[in-house]
Amino acid sequence: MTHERQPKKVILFPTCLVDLMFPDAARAAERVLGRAGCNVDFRAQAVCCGQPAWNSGHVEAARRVARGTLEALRGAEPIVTCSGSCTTMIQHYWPELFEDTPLESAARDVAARVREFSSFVAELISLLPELRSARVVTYHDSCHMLRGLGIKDAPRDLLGAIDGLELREMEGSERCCGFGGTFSIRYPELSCAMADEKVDDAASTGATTVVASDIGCLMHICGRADARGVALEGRYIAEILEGSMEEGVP
Amino acid sequence: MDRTLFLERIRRRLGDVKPPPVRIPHDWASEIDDPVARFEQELDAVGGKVHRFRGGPTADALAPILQARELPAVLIVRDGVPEDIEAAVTRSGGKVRWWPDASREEVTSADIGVTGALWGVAETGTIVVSSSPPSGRAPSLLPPVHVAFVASERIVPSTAELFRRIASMTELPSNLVLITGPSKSADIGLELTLGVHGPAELHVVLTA
Amino acid sequence: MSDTHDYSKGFGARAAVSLGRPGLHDLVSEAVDRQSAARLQALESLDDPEALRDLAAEIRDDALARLDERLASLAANWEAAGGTVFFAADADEARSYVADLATRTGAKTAVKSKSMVTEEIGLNAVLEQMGVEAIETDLGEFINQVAGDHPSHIVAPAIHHSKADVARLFSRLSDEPRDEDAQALTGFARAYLREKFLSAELGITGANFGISEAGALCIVSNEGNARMCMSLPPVHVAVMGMERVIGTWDELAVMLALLCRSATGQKITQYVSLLNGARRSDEPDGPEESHLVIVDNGRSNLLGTRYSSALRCIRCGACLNVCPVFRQTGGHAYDPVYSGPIGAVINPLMKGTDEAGELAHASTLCGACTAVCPVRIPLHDLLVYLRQEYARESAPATERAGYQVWARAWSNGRRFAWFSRVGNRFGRIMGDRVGTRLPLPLLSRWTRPGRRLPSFPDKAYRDERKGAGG
Ligand code: SF4
Repeated sequence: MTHERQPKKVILFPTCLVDLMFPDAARAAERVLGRAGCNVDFRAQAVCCGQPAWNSGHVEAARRVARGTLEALRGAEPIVTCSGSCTTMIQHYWPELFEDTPLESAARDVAARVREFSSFVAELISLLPELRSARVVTYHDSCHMLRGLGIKDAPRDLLGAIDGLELREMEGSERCCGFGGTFSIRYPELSCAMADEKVDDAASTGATTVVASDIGCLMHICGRADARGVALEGRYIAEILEGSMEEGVP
Repeated sequence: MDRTLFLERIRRRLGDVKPPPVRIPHDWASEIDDPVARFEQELDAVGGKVHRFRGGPTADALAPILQARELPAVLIVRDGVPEDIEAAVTRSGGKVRWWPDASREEVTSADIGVTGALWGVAETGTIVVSSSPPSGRAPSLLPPVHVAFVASERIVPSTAELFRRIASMTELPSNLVLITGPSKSADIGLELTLGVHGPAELHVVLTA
Repeated sequence: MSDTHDYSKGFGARAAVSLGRPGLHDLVSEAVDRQSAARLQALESLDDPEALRDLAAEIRDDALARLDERLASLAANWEAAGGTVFFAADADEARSYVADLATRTGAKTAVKSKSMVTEEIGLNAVLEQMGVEAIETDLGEFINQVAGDHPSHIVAPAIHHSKADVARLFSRLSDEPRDEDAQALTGFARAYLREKFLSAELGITGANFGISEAGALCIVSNEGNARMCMSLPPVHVAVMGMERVIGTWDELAVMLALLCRSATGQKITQYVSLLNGARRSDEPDGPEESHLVIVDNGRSNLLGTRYSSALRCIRCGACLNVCPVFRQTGGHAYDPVYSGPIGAVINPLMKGTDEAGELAHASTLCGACTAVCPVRIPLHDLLVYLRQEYARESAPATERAGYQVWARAWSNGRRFAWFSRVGNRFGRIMGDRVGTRLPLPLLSRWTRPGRRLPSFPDKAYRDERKGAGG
């Protein structure tokens, strides 16, 4: 290309869990987007998509939380989120959540602009610097991202673009890990039994890193693995990319 | 509950706006080039046996089935099967029992049931047996072995086509049964077992 | 902890019973994995399975939108062919009708083929009370009956029993030791049940579809027991959920293609019986009376509501087979009759939120069910709607209050930032002990079964970004 590329403006919406508990993941997403030629904006009033309450049937609470986020995300630029699940909430359920309210059209507008991180970056893959890593990883398909958004290839394309990284697919990668948001505390034992199967499937690939595009799943899977003494560390996809850009061999 | 009330209760809950009636496309089933070959392949895959029979004495067609058993009692529907079948059975030492004249005891203790069939379906390896005379229900159901004679030209390509044929029957029998292979189950330890209640063997003799 | 599934308790308690059963998970997961794989393979034999699923959903919606007309003509055409029809508003009416039939015909033995609706209306108990021996003849249901169990799967009702269990059960029944040989055990059941078929005065089946234009029923089976039940006893009664009607034979071809593939991975089941009224005068055999009982029993609650798509269900069981919760618990944790995702949807709707509303929470909302449903019921969305009813009507006040507090903190960036600072500081100091030491039930439910909390960061992302934008 002969002309300077204009930086692309995007809003990064880390989503509440990442923002609160996993700032490294958000920072990694920010850096990767930056290296892919994006000018990354952050809107402090955008906190949460409202999904925990929506999924539990508390519509008013969900709307109240989502409203602040919706107002903050107004604009024209793409909104990149660090969660397949929250992207699904905004894309599929916000129009319904705000139906027949003054915010309905704004909700539709945001729904049309929201993008899940890995599928957004996969389109900019050629702009990224050389990626290199010696990691052996396995990938967990988070449910809403896979079935709600239909995204399966993008994160694999990204991992595949990292030189030296080995992706070992696990048995049942598409099966739910048992997190399910509030499900994990409503039925803790059941949720852990589901995690056990995932932990076993992931561990039996021989990989010690499980990558996903939803931090909630990782928190659950690795929290369980940790308690069981299984060596399995969770990494958000952006963290793997970031690590592969910088040190070469993380 | 009174029928009118029952239906009225439903009607009240339904809106007045009805979706447009469904149109079933004619060609949703896959195309099949050679129905007879496909029929054979499909039935074989579900554990049935096809015997191609190109004329000659019926004994030739039945020989392999009859030979596998000692002096079998064979329940045969009158009409709808080749006329020389009686000779074929007696020659092998078997006993012929004619349906529907046989006694209940003779019917329930028969080793082999022989029937005709209205149609075959290539896509699935299915045959269709009617409760109307000459067939009835028991001969294809009670004996542990079922032998059905089907004319090759009666093989339709798909179940979609079969149901079109059924829809155009002028008179329905009380029971049509689509039979696809031997009776089976996987309810014990997920293991496939045959002959749970219906026949454990199904032989289809395809006549030209 | 008790080791039986107690239906007066919550789903969580029953799930715990299931989780405590050694071997159950292996039995269930092997069965569902196998059926799921078979389903995928069978769908490949269709030119365009996705388009066919759309069509099937349309067919079912069409029938439901015209349900009154469809049922009226099904009944009229069945009667025109010499059959009898009874419309049952609830379980009690349906049971009484069959019970009266048994009395009138002097039945001592009734043979039954697998039918979820007869389980739903509790038919066996009533017949037994009257002194009529009601025998389940589907091999799986027979095993359950001998064991005194409910079905644990709507298609494969005895997946929770191993081959060894069956050998033990059949040994007990026959007072003779039986080997763990599936074919031999099947042979025993065949001989045992054959006598019952031949002596029963009443045959009872369900119905997979009613075809209104023809006044016909379609009943599928692999074993042939349904054929026995509808052919050998002098009286046959088919009990059908009222939603199971469709319009035409052409529609049946489509529904059947999807039902068989989705349920067992077959292109077609071994037997598909099409019934039309009573035995004709020239027919050599068959029952003298053919009754059709059409059951509402709470189904009309769904008509005309946002849940009506649940009535499209053709009970194929595909949603159970892919459900990650079902895989852990099997069917008994849900309900004695309808389990898995579809059970979690229809039980609260048919029985009311108070009795069964909690079942709507028995899902991670992973959407695997919705992805496989041949008639495209948005199962996980319906579960969310049901949770809305539950939140309004049955949720504990603390839950509602909790969400209000949460919504206040999370609806404003500054309040969220304050919370994150306080929360993270606490978390860093206490580590995993926040779950065990602090009076925070939510966190302790996270850590209780053996699950660590992640380490708490120094700063939330928003605090790092401060000044950098926003
Ligand atoms: S809800 Fe769908 S997938 Fe589940 S049993 Fe019914 S038809 Fe099958």
